[in-house]
Amino acid sequence: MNFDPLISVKLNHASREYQPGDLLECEYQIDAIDRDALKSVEVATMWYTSGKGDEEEAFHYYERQTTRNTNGEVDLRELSHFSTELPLSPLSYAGTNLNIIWCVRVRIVVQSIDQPPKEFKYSQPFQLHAYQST
Amino acid sequence: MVDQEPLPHSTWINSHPACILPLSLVGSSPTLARPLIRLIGKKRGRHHSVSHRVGMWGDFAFSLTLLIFGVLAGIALISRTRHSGPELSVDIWLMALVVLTFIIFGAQGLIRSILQSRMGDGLRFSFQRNVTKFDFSQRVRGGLKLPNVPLFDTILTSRGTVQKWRLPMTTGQPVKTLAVIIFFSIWVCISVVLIYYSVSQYLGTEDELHFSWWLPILSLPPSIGLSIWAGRFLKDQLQGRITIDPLKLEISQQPLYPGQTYEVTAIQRGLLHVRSLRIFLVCEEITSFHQGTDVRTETHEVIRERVFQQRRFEIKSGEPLKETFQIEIPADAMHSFQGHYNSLQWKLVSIGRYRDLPEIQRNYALIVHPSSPLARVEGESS
Repeated sequence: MNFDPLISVKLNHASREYQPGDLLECEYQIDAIDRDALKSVEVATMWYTSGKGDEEEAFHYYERQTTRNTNGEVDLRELSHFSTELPLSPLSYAGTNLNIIWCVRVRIVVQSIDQPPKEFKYSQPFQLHAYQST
Repeated sequence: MVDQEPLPHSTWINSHPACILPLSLVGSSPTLARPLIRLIGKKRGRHHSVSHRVGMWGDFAFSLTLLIFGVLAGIALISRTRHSGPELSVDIWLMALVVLTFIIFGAQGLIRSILQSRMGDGLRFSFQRNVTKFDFSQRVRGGLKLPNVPLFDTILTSRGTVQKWRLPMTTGQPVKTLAVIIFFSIWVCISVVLIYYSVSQYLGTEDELHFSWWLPILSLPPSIGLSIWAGRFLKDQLQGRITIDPLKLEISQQPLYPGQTYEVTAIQRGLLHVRSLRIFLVCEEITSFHQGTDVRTETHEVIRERVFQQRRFEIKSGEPLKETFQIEIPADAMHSFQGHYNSLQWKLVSIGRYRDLPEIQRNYALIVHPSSPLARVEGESS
């Protein structure tokens, strides 16, 4: 019986609430998969819209690791880390016809022997709130 | 493609900052435009009739075929042109236009298909980063650009007389007025042609019942009626704009920030009996979406607050109306947002009712930036 791989994501703010200019630190790890089957891992910090209008998305941070560009020396399943300074805009928004959602997305491509490649992804949403003076 | 449900967070086992790209703060930009032609796959609401991958390969195959066909046809056309005389005929120009269209659509479709594929995210990000690198205007602004927020441009904004800035007027429904002008012109032309044709046929024929003159005459009344109706509609459209000086709104500061209060001055000149003048602070979500082959736009007002109202007063020549009032952007309000298909716009809307004139509504654009010390520095320096 085959299980889907597990993708774990952890952000440095447990509340998942950030302000513009904050440093977002993220750790992610892939489990329940053979090392050779994991072909690539992509991580992105991005926002996308949802609601009545056509969907839009934009990347703030993007990184891709594959078995080719690491020459198979790096185990892509291992706990990895990235950090990025969050931009000033657009802020998270929940409206009637428009929502702006920020997230860290991890996308992996898995290919077992004699099987077509399969894609899995996991998005961890977070809030980018307006700056609050303390 | 499989979407996983949110998982519980893993524990911090070991810090492993391997293979991290040293990326600086990069402005985000909306994704590419929706495909013009999609051979396989149709979007039905939020669902697609086929998988994303099938749709993408269908696009790719169609675009590649179109491009190859265009290139081959182009080669054939060039070789034919070289063997023909020095003067190019109209049909060759037309063929060249068609071939060029094939090549452009094919190339555009191929690029789009690649960007929609798995490696598209990386390509888009790389492109976006490099564009930002060569964006001199952004460099001048000190690299503090607010992604997807309209910037306040001092070059395009006029100075005010009472307050610091005059707000740009964004209305007037020019498309509607233009459509009415075209409609009116067409029916006037049709009526004139029909009258000329009817008169010439009547004078030139001896057979009184021949359709060549009574058919145009029967068409005359509806044609003239439509011309008169369109003329009256056009008069209503233009009357207010021609006879009344536009209401001017000036504001103490631009851009605006949530939680702040600003002074606005309304200035109206002319000789007018005003029944009512109301001004609203409006924030609206504007969303565009594809429905079949149509693109529809929906507007939803999130905030509509009356900030000024005055009833039954007269404006005399040489004594313009100058009223100052305050507006406050709510502290928890969203900033202005501009995407390809979605936007959030702030504006002031004036609705004026005058004696013997139709109601006149005008919009004045406001720019609200997010609250941030960095953003504020940028806004003040611009």
